[in-house]
Amino acid sequence: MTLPSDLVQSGIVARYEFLKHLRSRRLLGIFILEIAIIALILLIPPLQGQDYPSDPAKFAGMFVQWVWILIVIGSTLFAGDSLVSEFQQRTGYLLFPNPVKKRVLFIGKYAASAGIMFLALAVFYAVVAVFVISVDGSISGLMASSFGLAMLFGVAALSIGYVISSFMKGSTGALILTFALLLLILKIVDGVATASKARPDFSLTFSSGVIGYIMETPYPTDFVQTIDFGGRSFEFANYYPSVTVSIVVAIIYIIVTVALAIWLFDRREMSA
Amino acid sequence: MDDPIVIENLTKDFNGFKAVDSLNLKVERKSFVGFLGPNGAGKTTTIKILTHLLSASGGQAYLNGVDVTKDPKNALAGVGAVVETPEFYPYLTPIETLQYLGSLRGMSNEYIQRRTKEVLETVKMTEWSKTRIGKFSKGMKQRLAIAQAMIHEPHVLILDEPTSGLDPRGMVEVRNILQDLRKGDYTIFMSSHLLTEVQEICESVALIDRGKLLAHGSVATLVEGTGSKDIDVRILQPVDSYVIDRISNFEGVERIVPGDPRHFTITFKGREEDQARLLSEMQTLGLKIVSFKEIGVALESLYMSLIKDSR
Repeated sequence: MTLPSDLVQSGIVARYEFLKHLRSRRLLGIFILEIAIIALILLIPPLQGQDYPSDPAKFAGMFVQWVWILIVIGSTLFAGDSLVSEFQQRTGYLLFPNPVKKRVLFIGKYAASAGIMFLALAVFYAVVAVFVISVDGSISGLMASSFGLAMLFGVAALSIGYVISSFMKGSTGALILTFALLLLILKIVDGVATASKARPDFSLTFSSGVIGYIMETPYPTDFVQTIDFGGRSFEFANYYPSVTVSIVVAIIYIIVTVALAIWLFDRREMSA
Repeated sequence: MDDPIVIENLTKDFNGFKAVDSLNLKVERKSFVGFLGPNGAGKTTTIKILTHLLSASGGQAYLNGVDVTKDPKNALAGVGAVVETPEFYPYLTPIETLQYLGSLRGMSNEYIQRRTKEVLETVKMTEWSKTRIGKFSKGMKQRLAIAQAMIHEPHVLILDEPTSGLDPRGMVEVRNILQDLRKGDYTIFMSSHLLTEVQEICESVALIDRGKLLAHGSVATLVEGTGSKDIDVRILQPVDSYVIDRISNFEGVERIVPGDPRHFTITFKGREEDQARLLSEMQTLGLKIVSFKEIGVALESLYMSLIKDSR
């Protein structure tokens, strides 16, 4: 009996991890959230007595601006406790004594998480596309660009979830930290940097704005807004992420966080 | 290197505390070795290093000739392990779990299917084979853990307290499974707190304390080294103090602890021939002996004396 190669083993791990996600209530939860978002956006214009936008890109953009929320929740649920659970739930005692390298386990898990993120986003974009076509009769090619960017940033957010999962001691803490970092902490950093008139290009949340802005024609550009208040003038900067820089930032996040997560997971021991 | 498990100068240092301290041990092929020691002695740490759950601070641990500290993938290829009480993925059934682990080991689908049937029968889990494990009791999980350790027919089984957490019936079942393995080409290295269990399953023991090996050898030899053993005796008729006194005077008898009128325990010092002679002498007293059985206390005495000496 010959041991499979690392590549084959990572495929096996990915297959069973994917099965885990498919059978979990978490995926169902994401789908319910997607339905809720789409339903809400479809209900608001008629309730306000307004028509849906006739421009397919603009109409689709109304949905797409919510994609980052889906990515944050997806990363939390599909990555946040993926590694730490092996230690806390003691499944590592079953898996680690097998002839498989930890980095192979990591790659399998990571691929499965990326696959399930793809599924969640693809379903969202597909449903949105159906509604846009049914209302406007066509869809914008920009949706495909937005979907591609959403996947890239989805994978980057998953990578952050994996780093957190690789060193946290408990699943709950890892889930909360992943969620808080992606939804609150980085957003606060973006706000502080913008208020200081420093472009937060380094921030994943700032860069992820391209997922929605790509739907706008022309693409928005930076501007400074001056507001007079109490006899004084205040300047507020409005920054928009560049598509190219955002893609580079997401790739850097992926490379750095995946390398760090593998390094940490490789060294982590079943000491408890 | 023919011995399937060879440990050389193995050390594990936890921030200055040496859980395993230059441990040396060889486990011969087809032997069943009990790994004994008090809590914190280093048993589980050693087993975790052998199964790549912990890294070693120093030394080597060879499994089938491959150093697990350097090449865990190939070292663990021919090894099955049950460490602590593992948890299973609750969303999988036993069949799916065995399929998963078998695939990781490079087993073909046909081979996995055949072995899955066999091992689930062995651990009496066939009727639960298609039920998701999330609903299983601890005992069922422990039996499944033993099944997964045997799925690939390994020659080496490393077990960390395999009956831990089981009810008495489950313990007996697991012991029977392990004893059945004697028929095959298995080498078993198992830790346990239950000395009677070790004496029942293993023909040799390795005693460890404070990370160091205190003794290693066959149970019979080590127990003989202590010079005394406890024998549980049951008699058909009640015995009076006169008979007890007579037995007390037989050669090798150190003391007698009476139980009920038909039952007593003899602490006896001597070899197996002396023990056979004692039985004959008791029969010459007209006693109708129902049972004359060594009990595990001898190993316990050995254990206690060695642990005491090491501290």
